[in-house]
Amino acid sequence: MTMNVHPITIVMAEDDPEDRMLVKDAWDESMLNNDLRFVGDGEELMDYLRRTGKYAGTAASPRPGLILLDLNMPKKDGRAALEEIKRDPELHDIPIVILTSSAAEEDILRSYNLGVNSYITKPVTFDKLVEVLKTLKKYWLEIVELPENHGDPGNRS
Amino acid sequence: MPKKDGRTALNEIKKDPELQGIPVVILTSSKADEDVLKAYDLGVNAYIAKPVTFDRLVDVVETLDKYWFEIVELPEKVKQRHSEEGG
Repeated sequence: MTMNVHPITIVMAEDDPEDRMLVKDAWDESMLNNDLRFVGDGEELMDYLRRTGKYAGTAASPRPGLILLDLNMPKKDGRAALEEIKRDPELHDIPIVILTSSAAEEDILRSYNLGVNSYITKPVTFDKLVEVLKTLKKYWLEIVELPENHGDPGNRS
Repeated sequence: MPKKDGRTALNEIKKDPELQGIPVVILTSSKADEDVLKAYDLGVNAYIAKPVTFDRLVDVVETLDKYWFEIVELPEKVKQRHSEEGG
């Protein structure tokens, strides 16, 4: 059965270069053709979303249709970024999926209470990571309806 | 839905500190942009438009099952209540 795939940009906040490379490889393996961009920490994520800092005045940061967020990152961690995004009326409708090595109950519960759309612990094997990304793709890009790209920062006055 | 519609229930759940951690997935016949956006604004975890064919509905249910019960982590208290009630 073929379905339409949402042609969205996906931003992943992940500080570990090896994890990024692993996700990129698994991404290609999962035949995900969507535009995937990486930011290195929560601060860079907020700059990307708000077009500030190194993303100021550029068109190089299309509004993502989905954010994949690591919890443990330097400068601003995933918890703080999640809270900030979900409190920002311009950004809070962007779905966020936590992808982290932490399986601590307090992280899981706190993330859901802060409004995360779902919480996934990073699989330890490459094959399992490919499986997770395939299911993520099917769920978010083929089954779920996403909000229209109504608030691209580039369109804001 | 009659009496209390889904938007109102969603809003109530996501504002209640005891309940807001429970994932809510909208399954509705409406694909209207304003309904989709409003639901995400109110904090829905995902919005799914009901498929029109049975085969597609099976596909949606299977994907929901795999996503939420095999891939995703749920808060412990959601799982506990689930097992307490024999689910």
